[in-house]
This record gives sequence, C-alpha cells and structure tokens, in this order.
Amino acid sequence: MKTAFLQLLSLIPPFVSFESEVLADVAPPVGPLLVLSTGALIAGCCLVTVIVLASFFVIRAIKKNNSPKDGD
Amino acid sequence: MNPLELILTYNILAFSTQPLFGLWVDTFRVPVQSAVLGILLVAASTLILQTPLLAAVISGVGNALFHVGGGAISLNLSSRKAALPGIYVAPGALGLTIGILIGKGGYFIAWPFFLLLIGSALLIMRIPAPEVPTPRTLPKNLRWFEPVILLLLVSIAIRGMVGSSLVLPWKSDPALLIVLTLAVVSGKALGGILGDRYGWTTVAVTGLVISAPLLTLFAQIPAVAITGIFLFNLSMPITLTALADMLPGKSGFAFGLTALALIIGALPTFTQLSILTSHQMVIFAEILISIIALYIALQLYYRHFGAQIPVQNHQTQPQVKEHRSMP
Repeated sequence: MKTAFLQLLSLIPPFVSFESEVLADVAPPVGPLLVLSTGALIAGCCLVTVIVLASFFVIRAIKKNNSPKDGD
Repeated sequence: MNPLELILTYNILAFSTQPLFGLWVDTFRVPVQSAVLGILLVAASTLILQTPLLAAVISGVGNALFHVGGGAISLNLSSRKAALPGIYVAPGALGLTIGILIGKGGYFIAWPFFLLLIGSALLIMRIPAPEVPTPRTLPKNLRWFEPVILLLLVSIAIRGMVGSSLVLPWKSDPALLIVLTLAVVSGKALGGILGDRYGWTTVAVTGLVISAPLLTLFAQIPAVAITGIFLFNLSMPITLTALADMLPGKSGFAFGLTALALIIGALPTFTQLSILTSHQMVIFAEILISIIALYIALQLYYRHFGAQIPVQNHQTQPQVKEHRSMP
C-alpha cells in the first residue's frame, strides 16, 4: 500500500498541480492552478514532527526495557 | 481546501498516525479489532463524500488502523520471516490503482464498496485471533540498537521519496499502468519470499542496485522501468521484518514506523522541492543513499542482533529452543 500509494500520487487529477512548472506526465491545465497552502503544509509537518518525537521516545523506552538491569 | 490538500490530509493521517495506533495495538493486543475498526471507518467515509475533508480524515484514520492491525497480525504470524508481511502489503497497490482509475473516470458508486468493506470486516471478525508469539530477547549489547533502526528507516524514507518522485511519462496509458502496478505488487510479494530463501541482503540490496540505473536512465522505456520498479520493491518486506525484529513485541509499532518513514520521504514531493527530487541524477543519488543505509543496517543487524537467536514455539508445549542463523 505504502510505496505504491505514494507513487500513484502523480495521478492527481489534472485540475490539480503544483505552484510552478513541474516535470509531470500530465500537462497542467490552462487556468488558475491549485496550490498547497502554506498553512496546510505547516500543519501536516507539525503533526508528523510530533509523532516522530513520540516515536523516538518510545524507541528509547524499548531499548531501556531491554537493557540488562544492574546486577545482571 | 483544494484536492491536493485533501490528498495531503489523507496521506498524513493514513501514514503518520500508524506508529501511535500500532502502539495501541501492541499494548492492548487488539490487532483484529484495529483492522476491523479501520475497515468500518473507511466504509463510513464512503457515505460522507459530500463533506470531502471529513471523508478524508475518517478514511485516513481508518486506513491507518487497518494497516497496523493487519500488519501486526502478519508479522506475528511470520516467525521473523519476510514472506507473510510482503504478501500482506502487496495487494494494496492494485486496489489503489483500481480505485484511482474508477475515481478519475467518474465511475465511483459508494454502496458496492460499502458492502464489500462490511463483508470483509465480518469475515475478519470470524478469524480466530492469532496467538502472539513470545517476544524474543534482545542481546545485552544494544549499542547499535538505534543506529540499525534509524538506518532502516532512512532507507525506507528515501524509497518513499523516490516512489513519489519518479516520472514515468507512459504511465497515463491504462494498460501500462496496470502492468506497472502488478510489478509493484509482485515485487513486494516476492521480495520477502526470495529474501527468506536467498538472503535478505542479497535480495534487497541487489534489487535496489539494479533498479537504480533502470529507473533513472531508462524511465521512458516501459519494459525496463517496470522491471526496475519490480526490483525496487523487493526490499520492502525485508526492511519491515528486520525493523519488527528489532522491536520485539511491538510489531504494530514497527509496522507504523515504516509508514511514518514513507510519508516523511514523500512530504518534500508535495512542495516545490519535487522539482529537485524528480531530477534524474537526484533520484539516482537517492537510491544510492538508500542502498548504503540498507546495507549497513542489515550488516549491523546480522552481526549484533540476528545471529544465534533462540526460536521459541508459539504453542503451549515444552519449550524447545533451537538456534538458527539468519539469512
């Protein structure tokens, strides 16, 4: 699912495009181009950052739980 | 909110929340419930398409729950081999292609999918919950614990970036798109099987090495690029299983981490950085970095975590410990 889904994102409908010219197999339409708003991107990045940090602490906790205890 | 933002919202929820849901699945041992709940949420999202943002949120969360639930089950059943997880994730690519073709063609009708999803949820509920294997014990020296995990995730993230950046000019041809998708499916499905048989490093690294020139120099030639895509995807189940083996008893969390890595790799492609990441030589460099990270990760894994590990039986029998060396 994962990689394939992300690969297939290039099939975004033709009325969607990036802000400036992008190498794509589908030509951008004539007319106003839709863009990814800065707010949406920042919100997404913030959520991802929080989850990354949480995952980091979980990994540290797993390592600590599996480390030999004093006296072992 | 424009369609691109809807797609981003869906992607971020579907991929980045998986570690959290995975932790929930591991802690409360509810992989089946998670998968069923995920399916039900996705089914519900088909009924609220008039509110696209809500549908994207609910389907994204549902997708995440389904994947960590099913992923945890496949990893728990896999006995630390890569075949089952690869077979689990492989068909998703085909479903996505079919879904995108249906959606773009304007042929989508909600109720058949709603019924199919409900039916699959009912079937899954009837399956007995798999027995969770006893988590293995990690070696005492954990000096390389985080580096191995980080390198595996870097390799996965870069693969996600490459997958989102590749420009395949012929992909708009539906027939070639289907063949391309089947290459993705078969690569993931066979990667684990071949890796278990011939060695994880051999299959994963060799696949990436050969795919690099095929995808960067011959992307315009469908047959060559499709072969490259197949080889490129061989490593997916291997990295997943290796990561899960590093996190004993946390198969849902491990599965979620791979999804998180993928969305991190793909996020730049939602911005103007996509112009850079889609450049031929940059893609080659990306694959090269992924190869190096994966090779080092697997070498460290075998040397410090993979050799001479006791294999416990799942059933309640007298403990029979046998040692096997990792591929």
